Amino acid sequence: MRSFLRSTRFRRGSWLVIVALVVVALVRNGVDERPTTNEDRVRSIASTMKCPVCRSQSVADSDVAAARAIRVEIARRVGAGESDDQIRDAIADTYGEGVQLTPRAGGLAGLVWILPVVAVVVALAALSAAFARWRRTSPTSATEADRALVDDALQHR
Amino acid sequence: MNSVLGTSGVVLGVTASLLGVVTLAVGLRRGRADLLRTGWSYSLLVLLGAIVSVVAMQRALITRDFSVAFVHDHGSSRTPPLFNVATMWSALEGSILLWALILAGFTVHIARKFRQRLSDPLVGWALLTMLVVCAFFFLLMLGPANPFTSVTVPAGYDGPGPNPLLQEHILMAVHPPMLYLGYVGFTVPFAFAVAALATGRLGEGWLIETRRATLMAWGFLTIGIILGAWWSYEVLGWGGYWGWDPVENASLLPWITGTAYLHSVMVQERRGMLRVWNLSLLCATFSLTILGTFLTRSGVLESVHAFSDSDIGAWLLTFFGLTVAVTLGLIGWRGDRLRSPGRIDSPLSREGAFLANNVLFAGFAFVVLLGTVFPLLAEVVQDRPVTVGPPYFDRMTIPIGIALLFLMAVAPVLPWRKASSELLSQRLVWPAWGGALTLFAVVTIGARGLAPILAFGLAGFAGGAALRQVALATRRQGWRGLVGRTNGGMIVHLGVVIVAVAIAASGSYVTESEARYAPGETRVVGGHEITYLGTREVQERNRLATKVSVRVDGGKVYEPSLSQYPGFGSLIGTPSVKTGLQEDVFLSISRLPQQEGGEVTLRVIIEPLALWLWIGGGVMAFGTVLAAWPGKRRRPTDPTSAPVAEEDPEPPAAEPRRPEPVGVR
Repeated sequence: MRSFLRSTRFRRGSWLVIVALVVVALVRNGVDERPTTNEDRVRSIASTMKCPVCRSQSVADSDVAAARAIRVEIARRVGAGESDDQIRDAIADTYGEGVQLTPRAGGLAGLVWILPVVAVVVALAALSAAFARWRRTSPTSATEADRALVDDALQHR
Repeated sequence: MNSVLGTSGVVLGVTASLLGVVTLAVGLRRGRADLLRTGWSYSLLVLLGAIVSVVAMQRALITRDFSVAFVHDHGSSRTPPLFNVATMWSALEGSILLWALILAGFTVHIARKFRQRLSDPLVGWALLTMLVVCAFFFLLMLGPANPFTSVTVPAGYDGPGPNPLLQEHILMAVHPPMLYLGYVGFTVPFAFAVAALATGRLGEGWLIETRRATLMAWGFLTIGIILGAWWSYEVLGWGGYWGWDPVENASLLPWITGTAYLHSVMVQERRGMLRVWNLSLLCATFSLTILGTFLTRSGVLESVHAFSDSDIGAWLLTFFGLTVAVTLGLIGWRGDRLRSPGRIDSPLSREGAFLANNVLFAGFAFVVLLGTVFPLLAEVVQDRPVTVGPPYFDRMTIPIGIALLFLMAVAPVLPWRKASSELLSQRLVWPAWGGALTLFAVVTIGARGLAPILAFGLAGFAGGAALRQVALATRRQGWRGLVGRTNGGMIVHLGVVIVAVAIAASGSYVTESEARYAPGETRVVGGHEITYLGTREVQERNRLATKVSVRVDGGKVYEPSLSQYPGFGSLIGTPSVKTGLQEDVFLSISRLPQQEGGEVTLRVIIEPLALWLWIGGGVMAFGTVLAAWPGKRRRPTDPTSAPVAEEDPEPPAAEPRRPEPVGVR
């Protein structure tokens, strides 16, 4: 039994089963997404709007009257069949751009989305450049002077 | 009296640290060992100053000496004793005092630890750096954050007490000291980094000297952050524990760079590479603690214009700028000695994985920093306010978190230099089983959503990899397979896995309801029976609390409340939580009954696995202790490949024999 668990055959089979399990699980997750109810939509929209009188809570999390009023407004618009973006824009028109917890993609605020992507690209480019450089240089070998240094260090510890 | 005592403590602290800086600088410049050895006395004097000030402050708080401005503004005769002690760190001036005390403590610790080597320039420079930081914090207390300003008070005056939110839970007494131990602890490796740069001794020696200090600082910071999240869960009634608030981000930023450093330092110890990077990470960690204090204490985030109201902002920003400029200058100056001849052979290796880890952590820190300061920058450039809130942070950090979980699964099994696919397949097969079965199981029991199920699956994978390491190590070494950096690190990884699962579950599968309850009415929320029993008013020493009794699942009665603190306008809500291993039932009051026997509006939130966040945090802390556990460690300078001589059956008593390396010459 033990030797079977360590055999190459078992391992190959294992990887096949593992991949199959992962694929089945991911497909099943993708196929039956739960239907979103209107309440889910209200909550998800409300969680992207800042409560205008709180320090840093969203409309969904806050209990103050202003937040409750916005929640009612969102629910009314969801009931009327407006899209998420339409509703967000309408609320932002009433209460100011500052209530959007997620900055919009355009304009100066768009930088907050773009800069991290730029940073990742730069980091990856730098890394691949480093690997390319390492590949070109051959590993350094110790010189006589290096050996003498090590001998000396070992003697005088 | 208390004012005078406290101020004299601060003056002693300032004088001792400044004199210490000058003496050590002269000693270093002239190479005078006698001057360098005075570092010990100076650090003791600084600590003495800090202790005198803290005693004076506590005495003022306990005796309600309202002639001290800090007590006048934040103390009260109604505050219960424990919170009265904690009042010291409930506001700016007192928390700077706590910072100074901890910093002085660390300085003495370092001076004591290296008392045999005080004349060594490396230690001299490190102590000098720590004393400079001490001097800065003591000067803050003479200047813009003076805790001992005296005021004249009318007879019969009573103060308002600390912010009510801070009087609600015992965690507030513990969380700030833990956080500060972490923040301030990072001063130690920073000081040694500066010392290494200044002396030019950039070998790996200083890393090894500060290894345990760094680990402990990181551990305290971890505990501090987790306790902060716990406090916010138990006290702020919105059912969450992390809101990407600037205060929270300020504690997370040094944690991220510190974590990156703990990993990449291993590449330097092993391969002598990434020297500039590691120095930069340490300096970044220290600077971020200062920047975080600036962001949260200067009021700059409420509005750019609030910045000019207090001087402390300018002080902190200047110190931050100086730190960055000095360290960058030092690194540039030593650039030629920092280059290393090594190379990384393959991305598929331990060092390659550490590199990937560092790219991810650096990206993580960048996103959090950008999101925190962006509203500020936008307000400076344009006049319209821009809000960067939780949805932004969630969207940016969840992919990073998932990638880190994947790396946590693969990296521990990777060998140094280069891995073959055969080796990977062999070592990863059991962890992969763990991951695949977890993923399959959670989907089968009905979990949906790509991010959370990926988090569960990868948590299974990473947990499997960590358990595999622990199992192999304990089989080889017995209980010693649990201690030491690598093995303890795996326990920390297990803690991280638990935390990740808890975050994914409690963040994604919340059931929430807000409804009105008549007395005696029962509603079912997420499978739990919630019964409203009644409302009563309780006059406590420091507040008037209205408590709402709610029976959960026909069992114990829970009492969320709304309290009125004298001197504070709005009502403070306190939630009540039924904690369980599977899920928490979180109760808070939205609206009290308008008349006797009326309906109450209750908010009920069912949060799965929330308890595991705190458990995971505990496991991380425990793992950190194991990782720092002193063991029979090989001297890092000993050659690993050379065989050592046999132990003599009767070793001579006089001098312990050093094993003679053979086969090197």
